[in-house]
Amino acid sequence: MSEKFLVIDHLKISYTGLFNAAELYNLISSWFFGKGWDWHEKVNMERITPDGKQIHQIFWPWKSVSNFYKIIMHIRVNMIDVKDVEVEKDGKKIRVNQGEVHITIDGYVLADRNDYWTDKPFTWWFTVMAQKYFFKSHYQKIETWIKGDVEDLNSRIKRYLNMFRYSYQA
Amino acid sequence: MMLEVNAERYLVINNRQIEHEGIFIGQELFHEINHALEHRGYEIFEKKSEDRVTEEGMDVYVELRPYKEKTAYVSLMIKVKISFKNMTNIVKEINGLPKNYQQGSVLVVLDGWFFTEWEQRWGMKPVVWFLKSVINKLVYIFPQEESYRNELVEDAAYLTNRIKKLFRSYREPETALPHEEDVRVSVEEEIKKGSEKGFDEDAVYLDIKKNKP
Repeated sequence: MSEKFLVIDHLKISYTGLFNAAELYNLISSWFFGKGWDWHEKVNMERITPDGKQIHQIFWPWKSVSNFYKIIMHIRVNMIDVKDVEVEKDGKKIRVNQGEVHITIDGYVLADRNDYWTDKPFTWWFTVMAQKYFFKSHYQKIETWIKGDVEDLNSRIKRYLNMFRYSYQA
Repeated sequence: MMLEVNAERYLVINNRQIEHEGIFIGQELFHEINHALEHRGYEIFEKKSEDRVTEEGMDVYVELRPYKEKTAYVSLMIKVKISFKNMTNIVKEINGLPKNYQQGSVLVVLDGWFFTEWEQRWGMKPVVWFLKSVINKLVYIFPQEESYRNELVEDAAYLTNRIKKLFRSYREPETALPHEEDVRVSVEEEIKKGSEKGFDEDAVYLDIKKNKP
């Protein structure tokens, strides 16, 4: 059984205001296509209630970065009380959505993506020793990779929603 | 990275608040916090970002969880929660030049956490976890662990001072508290003045003249 390491633990983005739900979905999916990730949409659910649309989406995109490692993201998007509104901008009327968006991102590194080394106890032990003492830098590179991708996606979403952005620059 | 899930957690600093009302620059505050934390050796993780657009302005909430791994067993974390309420963008003239500011109220809350867990495996055995907790709490605390806790307190104090200094800089010069260097300089000048005049003048206040034979 492959070992899964949790690198980014529940990174949350919440926004209340005007946005475009379809464009937000396109933004997220096109980002993954652009970065060469494989797209996996686990749940895409929409309920229409008197308060507005309740949209619940779960995405599990992944990318094989080497023969041994795979990086995975779990993204949960919850849009609450989404209503269609019309706003005027520069004299033109635009149809947008108003509501709450809650996005949760988890980032994982999966070791032994082919389930080859962890099948037998001896090879599993050998893998653990090798990862711990000989190939630690490889794992750290992959960890940096997933952190960078999550940070890029995070800033892209915030820029789209025009949020007040926290930037990590010392 | 040490996961918080299995670790033994000690809350060392509980809800230390720093408030500010008026003008500020949000990005400058983030920069100051990043700089202070990097200077103390922390790795910064953004946990949550929340934006709410209201009629009065924007409500922004950012939560950071910077952590520092001291050993494979010990990790320090300072939770930083930054909350901007009713934030609006304004342009103010400083020395004749327009500058972009934000206006509203800021609340920065700090929590200091001390985690102990041996490579995410210590908490897996309940007996080991229990014995270790009992020994740590009641019998003996290793001096190394004690020093790490003190380090966490120092780091939080450093961060608090940096943030307070930044907020002080946004105040008007009349209402701002004097800097420590200015106070030191003025005290030195007063001492010099006193020594130049001689101690007879001061002796009046000390009632030395009255006590002279």
